[in-house]
Amino acid sequence: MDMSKRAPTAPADTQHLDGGESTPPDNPLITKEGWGRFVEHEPVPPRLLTAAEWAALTPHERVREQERRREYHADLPMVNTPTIRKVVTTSRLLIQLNRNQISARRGVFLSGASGTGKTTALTQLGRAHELAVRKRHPRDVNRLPVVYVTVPPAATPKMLAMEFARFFGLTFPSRANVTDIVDAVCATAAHVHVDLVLVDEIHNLNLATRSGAEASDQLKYFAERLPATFAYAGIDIESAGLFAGIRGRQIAGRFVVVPAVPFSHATTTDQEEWRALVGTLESMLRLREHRPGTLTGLSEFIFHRTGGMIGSLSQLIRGAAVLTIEDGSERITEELLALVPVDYAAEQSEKRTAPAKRTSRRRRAA
Amino acid sequence: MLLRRLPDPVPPARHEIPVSYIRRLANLHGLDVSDLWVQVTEREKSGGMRRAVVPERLAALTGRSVHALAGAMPELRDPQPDWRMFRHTPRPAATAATPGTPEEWYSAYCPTTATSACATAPGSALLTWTGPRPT
Repeated sequence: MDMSKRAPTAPADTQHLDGGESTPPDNPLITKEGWGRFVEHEPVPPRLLTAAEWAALTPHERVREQERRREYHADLPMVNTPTIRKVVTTSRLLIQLNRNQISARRGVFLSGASGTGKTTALTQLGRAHELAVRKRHPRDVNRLPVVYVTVPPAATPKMLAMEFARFFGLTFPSRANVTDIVDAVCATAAHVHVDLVLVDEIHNLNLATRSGAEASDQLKYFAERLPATFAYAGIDIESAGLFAGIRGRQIAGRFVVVPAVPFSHATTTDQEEWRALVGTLESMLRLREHRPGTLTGLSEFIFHRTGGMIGSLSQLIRGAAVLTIEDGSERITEELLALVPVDYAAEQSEKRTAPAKRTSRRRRAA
Repeated sequence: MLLRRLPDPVPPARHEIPVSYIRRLANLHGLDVSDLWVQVTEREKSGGMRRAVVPERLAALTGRSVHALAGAMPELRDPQPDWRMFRHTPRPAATAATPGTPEEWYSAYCPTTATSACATAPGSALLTWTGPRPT
């Protein structure tokens, strides 16, 4: 998820205690600054020049124009998948229902294999909610309705609390105990009106270990203390034992599970849905020689190439668009799509599901 | 260790002293006052035990420019102002030395000087300048 650069509104976001000023090398989503940039980022499609306008450009202007379009295609706007729609609808309903609850608030679990768009759905939920809140409270610039954290590997309660503190930008000395951190996080969260907490990579919680179970309890404690709706995302949560035991039963009784699954190509409806998704992505392309409908015509080939994974699909189309601008052909073809590297999981899926290619001998015989 | 902007960096009140401002910021975010004080100060160059506010650190913590902070808090101005210019400011009945600041600078709780923004903020026991530096 790329983030646009924004003109700084503050003199300095960070500063080293040794006196030298510096801005962080990146602003990941797990900081309020990074999250804010993500929420505000809205890629604007560049205008496609006519042949005459293109011919009138100087070589330097052509390079700049191509660079602009490469950047745009590398960061194509997100499309609305059924998973995103389901997560957003369910969670926004739960936020409404939880608003006046004093405990036992309901939450959402987003569970599925990697590459099915869990993080995308989770972040899009947060973005949609934050934009809605900003619209309702345009003058409250310090309001932070959404917190986004990831569970670190081998998480302990203190590590988890520090993730929340890091999002807010609260700094603690190393001797600070978990209670200090949790108190500060809860005070700050209440002050800035947090009402949606997104916790990603929840599969990093290992309930089989003591520290993992304690970290899970810490999350539950946060859920009790913060007047917010919690949405979790992780790989195959059901099979990770998160719903087992006393803790698990309580979680299972309070959370709605939204499965994030790859697209299917089995029925006509599935095929139509997939074609519509490819078509939406195609409509966002800004390539001079590309004929609309080419990609939808190749939707079956694209499905087998990506295994129906939204992450792989995005990488494939964006990669092909960038490559075609670089080589100057400005149109996406089947050959080009075959050249774009996709992730290992998609490659394995392609081997399993793609129809066998005709060999040269058979082609000669035909 | 990096200092990042706090989520709700309320503005300093006019003539508020830094220790009061830092205390308000800490209370607002549930932080320990002395921890935050240590983060934005450093030992005085004279080698004493006193700690002086580093304006750049307070600027990083609040997202406000050093110029704006020094405009509200005379203690942060460089060079230091002529304290006799503050002679006209009313001196409240109760004055007390404020820990963490130079002893000769007197301050006191002074609700009448609270700005509306600060008066509504939690922990808004503002400490403001109460008069010129005693000679």
